[in-house]
Amino acid sequence: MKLKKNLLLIAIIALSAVLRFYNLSNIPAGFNDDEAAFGYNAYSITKIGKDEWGKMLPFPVFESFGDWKLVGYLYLTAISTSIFGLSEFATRFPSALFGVFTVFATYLLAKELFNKRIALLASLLIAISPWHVIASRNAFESDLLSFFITLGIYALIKAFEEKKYLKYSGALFVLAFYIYRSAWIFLPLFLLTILLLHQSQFRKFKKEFLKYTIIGIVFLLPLIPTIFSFRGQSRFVQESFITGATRIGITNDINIRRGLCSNNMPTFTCTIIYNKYISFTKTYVANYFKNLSFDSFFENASPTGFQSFATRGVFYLFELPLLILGLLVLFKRKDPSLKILIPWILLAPIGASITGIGNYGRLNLILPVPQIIAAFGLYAFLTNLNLKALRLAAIATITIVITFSLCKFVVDMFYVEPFFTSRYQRYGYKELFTYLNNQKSSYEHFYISGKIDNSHQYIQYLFHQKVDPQYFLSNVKRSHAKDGWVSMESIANYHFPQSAPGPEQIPKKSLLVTGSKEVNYPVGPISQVKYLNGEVGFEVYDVDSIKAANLKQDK
Amino acid sequence: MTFFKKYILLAIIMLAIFLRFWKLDSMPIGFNDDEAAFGYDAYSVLKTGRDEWAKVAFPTFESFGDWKLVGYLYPTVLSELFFGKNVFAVRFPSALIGVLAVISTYLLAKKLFDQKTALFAAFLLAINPWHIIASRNAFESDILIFTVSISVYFFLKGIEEKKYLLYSFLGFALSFYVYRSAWFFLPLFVSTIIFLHRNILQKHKTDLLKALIFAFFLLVPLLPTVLTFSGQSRFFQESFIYGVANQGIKNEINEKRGACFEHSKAFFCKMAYNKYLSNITTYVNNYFENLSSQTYFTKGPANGYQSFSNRGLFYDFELPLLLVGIVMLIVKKEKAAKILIPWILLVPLGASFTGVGNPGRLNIMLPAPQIIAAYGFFAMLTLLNKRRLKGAVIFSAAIIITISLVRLWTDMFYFYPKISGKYQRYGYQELFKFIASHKNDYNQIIISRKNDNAKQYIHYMFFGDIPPEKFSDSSFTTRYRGEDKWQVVEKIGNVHFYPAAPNLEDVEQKTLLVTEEHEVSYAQEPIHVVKYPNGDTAFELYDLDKVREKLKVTDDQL
Repeated sequence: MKLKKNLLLIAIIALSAVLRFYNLSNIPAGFNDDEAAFGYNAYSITKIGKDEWGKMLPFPVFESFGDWKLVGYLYLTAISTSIFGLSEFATRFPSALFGVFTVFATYLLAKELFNKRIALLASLLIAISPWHVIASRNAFESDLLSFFITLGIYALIKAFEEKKYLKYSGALFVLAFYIYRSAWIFLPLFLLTILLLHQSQFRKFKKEFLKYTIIGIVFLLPLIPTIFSFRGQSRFVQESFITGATRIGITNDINIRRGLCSNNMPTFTCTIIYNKYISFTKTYVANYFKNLSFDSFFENASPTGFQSFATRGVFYLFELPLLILGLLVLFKRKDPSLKILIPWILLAPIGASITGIGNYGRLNLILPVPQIIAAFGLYAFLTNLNLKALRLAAIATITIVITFSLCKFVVDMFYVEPFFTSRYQRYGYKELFTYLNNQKSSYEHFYISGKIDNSHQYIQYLFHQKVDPQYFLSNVKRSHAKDGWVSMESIANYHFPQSAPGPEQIPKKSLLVTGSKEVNYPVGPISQVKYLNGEVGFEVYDVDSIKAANLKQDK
Repeated sequence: MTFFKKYILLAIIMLAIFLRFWKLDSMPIGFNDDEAAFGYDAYSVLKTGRDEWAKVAFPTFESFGDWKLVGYLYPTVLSELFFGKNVFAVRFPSALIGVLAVISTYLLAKKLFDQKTALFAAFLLAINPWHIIASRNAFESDILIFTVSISVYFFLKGIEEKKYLLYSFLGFALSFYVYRSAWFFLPLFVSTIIFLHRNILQKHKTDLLKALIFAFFLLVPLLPTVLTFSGQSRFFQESFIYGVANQGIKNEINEKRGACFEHSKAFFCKMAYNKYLSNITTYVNNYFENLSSQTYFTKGPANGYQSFSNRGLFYDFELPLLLVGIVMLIVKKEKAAKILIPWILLVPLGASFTGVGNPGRLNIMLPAPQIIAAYGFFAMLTLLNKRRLKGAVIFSAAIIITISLVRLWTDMFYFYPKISGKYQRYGYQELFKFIASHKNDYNQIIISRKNDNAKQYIHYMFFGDIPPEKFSDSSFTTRYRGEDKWQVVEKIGNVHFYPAAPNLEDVEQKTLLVTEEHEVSYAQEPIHVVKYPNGDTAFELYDLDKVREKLKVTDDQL
């Protein structure tokens, strides 16, 4: 009986699982550096209990490339690799699984905010959401936040009626802090706003609330050294417009304007109207609004397809009218759910805007709010149609539109996207390192040029050849660059120079791997790895035959 | 109106005049093709009663083949009658109507809300970067800002006093003669506002009908234009359905289909990727981008046409006011929303056929955002219940606005001219004045049009004082319509327009050659160089006899 009642929900969850698990190892095409890092560090922990830097059970962060990732996703992957072994599938598994969980969490939250029908619609929309599907399929920690925040808010609202839910809510929010840094900015602001907007509800259980807040803070204490040191802010320092690379563009712009201005006006005036404070504010505000704009969500997302798509938007176009309608009706009715949903949407880009625009991994904690609002909009629209025939026609049309959109999305994701994005998603390393592994009987040294992509190839090597962690730790030669990123020199007979060294610098019986057209030798490569669109990704050269040919030419 | 408030309005109008007329002839720098076309055709009408093609200019004139509407032409005739044929005179009507738009904004906002909102809205329009630059260019689109806002004002007044309905529809009808964006926007907008006010209008059914018939009667002369190529020329040339952008859409479809064919049935791929879906998606994308914050608050298009390439169209501080304004309009269910919301939502419907962020096609939206922002500001103030807080907000608003205004001033007069010369056809004035005074020293003067698609002739006619009769004299001028219906001018007197610089041996004695920088490289220095304000070279003038002489000397030396 109960099963029958929830048949629709089960179908939706099954659909979400198919969309997230089918062909998980190959789609998204390629396997990016962060994925390989999670996979290999997890593998290393299951084998020897240490991460790639030899740190025993790292907590709360592990160094990885020098970006000091939080450990939440690491230990989940450790469980998954100990079950499935080290593979792309195992690395992506926790993300995909939590993606399915999020669908259920969305159902719970929407049901709590509105009703069961809206909850079913919302969970359907998040189950088929292109953005959520692709985020779930990448082994990347940010999409886990959607689950923890959604369920945490659900428990919090529940707690307004039954106090016992408060501790679950608190636990979920605390965990979120250990998963991805976006939570560090978002959650405190979001929870504070919710607290302010629901004062009367909170007043009822002041004591418990205070108790669990204190307990929560205690559990967050281990993070404090991380938050206040370079380790916590590494990404911020590397990427924000205040301290990162884009800063110089802003400074130049100010200087040009000031120069032209001070030819005609007092310097004091020019300094007041053109200065870094005004420029930073302008940049931040512009980023913020772009991050919330139609373009970000409905136009082709990002040329690299990272955590998104190169050839389509992250939302369906049909969600737009539903979203607008949903918002209008919510505002018109002054619905209490607004006090949760609106701050969620408005605060989501607060952190991402410091670094720039269209970083979909930093924005996706906005999910599943747009889907819940769209589901509400659809429901409001349908219930507003008085004529039964009209309503049936509307349902039929919407079913067709959704089915068609879903089919198009599936074609886009499985067939079209890989063609356009494989080169940006580190496609080819698996083929490359498998090939090199097969050559190990004929060659002694392997040189991989770092020009192809900024010196993280070593992790791809470790991952795809399943290098023994202990062997790695005892044979690695590496250092830290000035900006804190790791600079890899070699792992035993695998060398990772900044760019292709001259053949004379390479010992006998070596293979050299370069990017396409990076070098120009009299003899061609002995092997090539191609991207899915047919372009050459890597070229493998036999160094001895290059030397022989050079010698011949000299004579 | 109190004495004090009267003076505030007067001060706002003075400020509007100052921001629009100060250095009108040199800011925007240069004088673009359309400005020169209006200027010369107006001059032609003034002298001969006909346009440059010796046709009666009504309701359109051919110009470059883009068939401009005459709404801006006749005001320019009048202006040239007073001020003569010069840059200032051509821009004068636009700047003047820009000031009138500030007044009509005041009237409209007062009708929609109250006097203080009206004053603030008028102030916001007076200092609005987009409106200032649109008013300063001699371009017809900004005239609509005035005609539409005053017509809406009369429409609202007409609801109370029916006689004003006639004025309202007179204004709407005249707008059709000004710029084509009105053709698409006004029918939709006017029918929407009539529909939304249908209950009140019930009272004046007959008067409304009379006004509508009167308007249709005024529009009859336009019908042949609307229904023929001369009406749709721009649409064909620029829309993504027929224009150049269509090719990009086709290529993308083919590429995606190709990737899809490898895995899936052809039928399925064609369902998923086809021109209908792509055209709809492009249109919807354009529409929303045309309403997005990027279009109005981040940098304008690089060529700075009808906008600033170095700053946004609006001030950043207007954005929060606008958002608060819109939310409050909806929450409070203000009557004004029935006018302002359709206005903003309908404007991009037309512009979205051609692309994103074309400021000249979107500025018909003004002054609706300013009125909403002004309303938003006062709505925000009433939300703040503490008096001291209110004072603080007003004080910081004053500081922010002052800084923004000073910033606009330096951006506009000191920074913008340095970077916009190239796109605003700077240099033609100096070039053609030079040529006009030296043309008798040479047998022929050759101007390479390699870097500027063939509209230099209009600058020569304007700055070189070529009489209109001579232009239609086929022994003096060689001109024809090209295949794509754009017109091509090959020669005016001894001034020839070549597709590119000719070979030295193909040119007769006593020839002066004009090229852009780096188009040719001769050992001989140019006899004259025209420079952009930032010091880059715009044009080089070579006496080809001297070039040949130098070449001979070097050959001999070798």
